[in-house]
Amino acid sequence: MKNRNARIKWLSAGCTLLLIVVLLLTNALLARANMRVDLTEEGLYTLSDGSRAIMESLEDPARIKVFWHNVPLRFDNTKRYIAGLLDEMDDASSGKVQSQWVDMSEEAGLAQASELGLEEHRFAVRHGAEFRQAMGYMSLVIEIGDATPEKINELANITDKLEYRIVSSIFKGQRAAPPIIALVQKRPFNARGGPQAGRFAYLERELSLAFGDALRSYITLDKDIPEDVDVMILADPRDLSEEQVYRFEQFLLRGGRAVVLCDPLDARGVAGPNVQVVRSAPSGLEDWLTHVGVTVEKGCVVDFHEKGSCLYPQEQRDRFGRVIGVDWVRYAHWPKVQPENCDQTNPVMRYLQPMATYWPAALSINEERQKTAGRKVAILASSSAEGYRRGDVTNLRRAGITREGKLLERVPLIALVEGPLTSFWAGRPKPGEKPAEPVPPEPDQPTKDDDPKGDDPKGDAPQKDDSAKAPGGSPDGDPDGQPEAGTDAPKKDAPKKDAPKEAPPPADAPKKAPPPAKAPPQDEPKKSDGDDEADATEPTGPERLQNGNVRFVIMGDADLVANSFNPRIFLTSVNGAYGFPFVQNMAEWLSGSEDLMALRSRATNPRNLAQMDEGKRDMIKHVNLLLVPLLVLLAGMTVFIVRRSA
Amino acid sequence: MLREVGSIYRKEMRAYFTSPIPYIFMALFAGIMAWRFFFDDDTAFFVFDKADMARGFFYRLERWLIVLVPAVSMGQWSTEVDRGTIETLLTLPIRTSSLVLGKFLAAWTLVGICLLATATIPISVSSIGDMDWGPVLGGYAGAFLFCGALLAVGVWISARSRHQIVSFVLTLVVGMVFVAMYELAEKAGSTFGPILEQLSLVSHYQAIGRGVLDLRDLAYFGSMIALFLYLNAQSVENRRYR
Repeated sequence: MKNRNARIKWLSAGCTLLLIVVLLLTNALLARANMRVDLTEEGLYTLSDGSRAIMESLEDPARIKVFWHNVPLRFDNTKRYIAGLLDEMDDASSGKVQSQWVDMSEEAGLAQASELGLEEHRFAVRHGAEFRQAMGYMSLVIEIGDATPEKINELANITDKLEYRIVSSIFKGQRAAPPIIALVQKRPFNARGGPQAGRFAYLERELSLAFGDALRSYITLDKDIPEDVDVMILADPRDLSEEQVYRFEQFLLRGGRAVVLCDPLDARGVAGPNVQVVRSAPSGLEDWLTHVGVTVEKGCVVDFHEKGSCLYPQEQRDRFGRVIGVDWVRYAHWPKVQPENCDQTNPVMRYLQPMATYWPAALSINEERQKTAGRKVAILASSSAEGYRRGDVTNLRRAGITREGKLLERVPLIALVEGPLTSFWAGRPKPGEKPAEPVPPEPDQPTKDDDPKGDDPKGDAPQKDDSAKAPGGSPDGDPDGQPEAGTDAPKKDAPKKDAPKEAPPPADAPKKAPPPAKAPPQDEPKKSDGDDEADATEPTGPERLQNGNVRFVIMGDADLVANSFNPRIFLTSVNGAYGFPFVQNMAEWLSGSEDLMALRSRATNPRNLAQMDEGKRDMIKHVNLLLVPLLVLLAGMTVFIVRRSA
Repeated sequence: MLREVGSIYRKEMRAYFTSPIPYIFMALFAGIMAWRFFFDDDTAFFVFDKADMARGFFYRLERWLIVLVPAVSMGQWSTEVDRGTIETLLTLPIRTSSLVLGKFLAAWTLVGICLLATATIPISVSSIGDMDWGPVLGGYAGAFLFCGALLAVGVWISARSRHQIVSFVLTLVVGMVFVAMYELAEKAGSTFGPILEQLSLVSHYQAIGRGVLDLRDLAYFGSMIALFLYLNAQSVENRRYR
């Protein structure tokens, strides 16, 4: 009997051991399988179609090394996400993208990280009740052929962009000739006179991540734009001199593309809808834009539609002053560009997520001028049908405006200008140059009657305008009244006076316009067509381009890509910060590529709570805390009583 | 076999729901979870202002589950031993595996109902915000599987001990070990760390809680449940032939 029991015990132990071995083997085998179901609505843990397409089309192999060392457990899900993402990339690229988790337990791993110049991160680690600091690695490096390895640090902070960062790095590495992008912005200077990070430092960083070495971020309009620049992003031009505008125009005329982010309302440093007065600041481009037939109006666009504007967080406090919640209130001066109000034929706008703008200026298009010149101006985005052009900016408080009595309309916010353009300086000496001989009056030169701004003989520099004194207000004194036509017109008149009316485009002008990458050098004479009136009336300097095909995008807001509205702040967690991918996509599209657009604009829903009062909040809390448990208890008591009585 | 499992399952469920104790238990669990989610300063749902349950509800839920599960599992076999009904049960013409499986499934259902009692929380959240149900379903699925694995351990411990309280304490300790393994993984270095992490219930629960059902995590939970149910059956079988 004893023997039998012992045998049963041994058999039982053997079977248990066998089962453990089988289970371990099964788990080990399945660890290689990458089979999963992503339940999230936005497919957050699944490689997007755009990335998959890029991975499938890869020609050169890429190697991704992950350096993960001494990272606190709270980043475990990030680690899992990275591992899953890399597995999927490996699958999608048919093994062309290979990943490796570097063994950091050995000195070799740490030495490799240090050799690659990876940054060590400081983490706060909880030890009981106190926090201590620890150092660790949380980076990855992408190696493609002989190119310089691309480093991505702070992986946990960019989880939502990691897929884009990896895919775009690989994509950049495969590109033979990336387009050259220039970000032109005004930079403050430090005490030594060196340039500091500007108001668009975050945009600069994002563009640098997107375009890498192809980004030229220190280009200014003080010198001629280098020949290799394909696309220029002109961020918040301020008080540009005539020479600077000239250089910008020459860049366009030689085939360069541009994204112009004018920002007539100087709302820097303004925290939100508590603003009362905002200064209006000229860009210096006003006259040139009027010549092109586009006006960036003073004032700002207000959108009264429920979905048409952004939210602003207002803290809710109890009677002791403690924060008990956040109310997101709508602020109509921050219109949100909705996809349905965008030109869906444009690929950039097709991928646009609802984009927050901050006190944007309205655009107005001179259709007649476009028609005469043979240009095409496409309105890429406008406000909702409940938009309003607010001329007065003396009180931008949230409660400072109501929709009653306003003329509501779709207000153009972003426009694409394409087609032939005769130089603003055609027939005149270029800025800074004195004419060799007096210019005879031209027969069809604009007169005082047909150019209302021609009566001011002065002003090479833009005239400062203090819009706090109710600029653009209606004549009847209504501060919210419609600005009168022409009130937004620039007052810098001297060039205007001499400027010729734009000649009708030559029939073959578009074909003759220089292509972006192969533009003729600026010091070569530009051949122009016979019926160009500027050509007929004025001798042209050898280095000047009198006409050509231009293509640029203009909008009346630069705050949407300013540091103060970057994607990491609380405000943009609700409203989104899709201005950044918009500008990146626009630059890329203007340079002739569309590959990363869908990927860059991949949206995550902010999923904020609806606005509610404290009463509703309390009700929700107490229903869950008390009502449900009480109902369960009641059911239990009923069962108990019924059972006892039975 | 299915019929045998079914009859044991029905018997157990009837026993649960004719007693007021599971109701009190469920009410308590639902109340604590609601308090954690809506009132706890650490999570501060309304201040955080996101229609999301990962932070306030599923985060560190395992610390509550390791208390809930032993409370359900402790009486599975110990009560039968205490009341002296174990002999009757073992002489019934039912296979040991059916007995074990029936009891386990009934206990797992009870834990599932406890979790379901908190379903008003996601429903409330989705009524005031655009909630992504994927991570919520993932979180519940992960919690249910976590409970299943720990329950399998608890039922096995219950079969090996005479007293409910001993069974409760031992299961609680095992649960704490599983949680501690996850936290120790961080300090165990890169050799033992990943092993501890892979063995810990918590890491797999959290992986599913993101809203991703990964075959590897499902296999892990399945293996844990299978292993401990097998051990459980072995223990009951030994008792039958003692």
